[in-house]
Amino acid sequence: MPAFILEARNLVKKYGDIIAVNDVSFTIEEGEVFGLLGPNGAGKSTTIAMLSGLFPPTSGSAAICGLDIVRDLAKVKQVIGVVPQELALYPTLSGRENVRFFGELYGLRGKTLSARVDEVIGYVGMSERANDRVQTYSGGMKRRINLAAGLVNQPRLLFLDEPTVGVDPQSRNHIFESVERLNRERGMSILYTTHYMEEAERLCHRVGIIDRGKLIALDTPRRLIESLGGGIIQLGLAAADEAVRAAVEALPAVRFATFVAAEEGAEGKAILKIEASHGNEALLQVLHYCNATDVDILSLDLLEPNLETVFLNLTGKSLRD
Amino acid sequence: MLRQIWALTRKEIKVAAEYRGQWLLVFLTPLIFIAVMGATFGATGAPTVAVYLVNEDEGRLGRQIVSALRDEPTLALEMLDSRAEADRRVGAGQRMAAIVIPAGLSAAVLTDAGGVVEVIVDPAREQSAGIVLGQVQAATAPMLIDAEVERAVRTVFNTAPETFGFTDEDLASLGVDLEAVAKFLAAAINGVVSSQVQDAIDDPLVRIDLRPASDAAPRQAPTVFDYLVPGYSVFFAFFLMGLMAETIYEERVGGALRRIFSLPIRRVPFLLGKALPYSLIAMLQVVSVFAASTLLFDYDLGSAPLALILLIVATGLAVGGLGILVSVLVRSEGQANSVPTLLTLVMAAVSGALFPSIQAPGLAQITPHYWAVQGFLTITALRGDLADVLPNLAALLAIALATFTIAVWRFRHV
Repeated sequence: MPAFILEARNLVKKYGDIIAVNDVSFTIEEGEVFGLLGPNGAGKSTTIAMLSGLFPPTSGSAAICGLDIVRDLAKVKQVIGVVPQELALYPTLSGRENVRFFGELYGLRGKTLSARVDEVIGYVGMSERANDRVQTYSGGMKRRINLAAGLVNQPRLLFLDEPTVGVDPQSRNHIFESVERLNRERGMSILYTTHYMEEAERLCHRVGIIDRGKLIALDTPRRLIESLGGGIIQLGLAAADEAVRAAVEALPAVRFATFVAAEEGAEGKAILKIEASHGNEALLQVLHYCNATDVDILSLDLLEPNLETVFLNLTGKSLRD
Repeated sequence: MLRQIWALTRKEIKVAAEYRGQWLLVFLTPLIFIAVMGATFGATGAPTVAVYLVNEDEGRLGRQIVSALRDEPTLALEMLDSRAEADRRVGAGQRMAAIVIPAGLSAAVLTDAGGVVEVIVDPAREQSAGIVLGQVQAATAPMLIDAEVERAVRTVFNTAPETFGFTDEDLASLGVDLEAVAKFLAAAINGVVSSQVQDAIDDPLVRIDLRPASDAAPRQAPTVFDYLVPGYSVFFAFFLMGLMAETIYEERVGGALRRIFSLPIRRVPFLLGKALPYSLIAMLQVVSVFAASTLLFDYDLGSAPLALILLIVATGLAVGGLGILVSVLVRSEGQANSVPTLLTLVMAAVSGALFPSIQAPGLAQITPHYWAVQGFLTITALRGDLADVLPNLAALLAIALATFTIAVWRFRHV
């Protein structure tokens, strides 16, 4: 039994001059929910596509259950389940027919197939509507059947690629609960990609933050958030005065201060990003300093510490950019 | 692998079943076309030509020609009273031609000058006038021969007796009633010559025999349905290519292809599972149209059922092979909607599936339509057997295999 259910080493995927995935390495332990957090186009889906054998990496390697994803691809596909970002379902077939079809492609048949189909449909809470055509489902119900189709072969490692895009709150909650139950009750390992930090914080044991094809941080959500200390304060000032920055950074409750580019629509304003070791204390010290030195504050944002703030701190942009 | 192919096949049939408009096109439209085209061209195999007929001759020959033309099955006649009216109507494009038997034709053919049967032709369709001309010549030939004989006999009896070494006195001394002899001989010679001419027509010294191209002679002349039924069945079966291209394109953009290829399945079983259902549907379509045609159009399926079944199977496989190749090559919705239809129309026109061709096959031989339609014709109208259609079977299977192989080579699932 390998120590890790997935080991990715220096994965690279290039399309001509474009590098979609750039030297990405990470591991997933057996029974772990691992999140890849990043904005659209960061390289999350390309990483999953390589790991699930849709196309080989340009360079680098990966092993799933100790099996090489290029050399042992057929065996790898038997132990993984893939829930793609797209609703990869046939709308004129029923939910049950869709799940059954994918089960048949795994080689399941007879009573085993029927039992497995019933089981996974029940798991995602779609038993009552299973015989209706997919085209009559809400977006959330389609997502749940999409998830069921990825579970029909009882995979050891499940790839969930943005499973909650376009989903109503009720179905989103149902998907969360399904993921948690799969992990808790069956010990299923899951690679979960998302650009919603709330999902990553709630579901993932560890999170890799990915941007422009590169993995820029990897740890538990708690440690990633703690790395921010007491949060972020963003001050809008009239000018990027280096003396002001240095003075703010020297305050006891401030760890780091730097000028960043202003957001669209706030041109003409200098944004001083202040990383605090203690949020409230830092805020008081900064306000006191500005008041005492007659520094005009044009705007003030206090960002609570979370993965969104971590991403902002690492990349200077929002996850939804 | 077989289980995967079967799963894909069943799924594809279920998905395809929702495209009801396509089924109408593939199953019902061929029958409608066959019925319409059959009615247009008539069921005898030769097209029926509608023409006007004007008989201004009051003599026996005019009546005989009218009668003969009426017996000609490929002519649909409408009688008009005057040449002027016929000329006006043909000029207006109401008929492609008018046959005019002029006044005094019966008398004129007995003179050295002879007579003229006129065919007035629509200038816009002058190239087709040969059909009418040939039919008029065929219909009038026996009457014109009679007239020719009668004119010759009359010429002889109008010749002076001295020409034959007699004088009027010689004939009078023998007590011959010249008038009576003239009548008797005229009738006898007329009868003999007519008989000889008719014999010459029936049993000429130089005969032109029409023989079938092989020993497998048809029991009867092919009807227009012998061409239309296989032609339009095959033509419309290839419209399935459009449906194939559409479903694969939707799977590509909808992410189903990505999901399927994250499963343990390879390209060959996947493409077989995509092509096979449409091959089966094409076979079912040909069987349905043939079966309906036997009931509706008295279409004769021939006497080689095994050859017929194999040809239907090979045709279906060719539809599947070519269809999957086209589906693999199209990369946009626009292409998926237009390329298969365009290809279907062009191949049908080139192959002669739409209209029986009198030209050398040439380019037609690269189309599966040609081999399929010619094969069905051989089995049905020409009463051929399995050996006669082996080249057709080989060509169709080769096309199916070649196109499928290229499709496997060119297929990209992402």
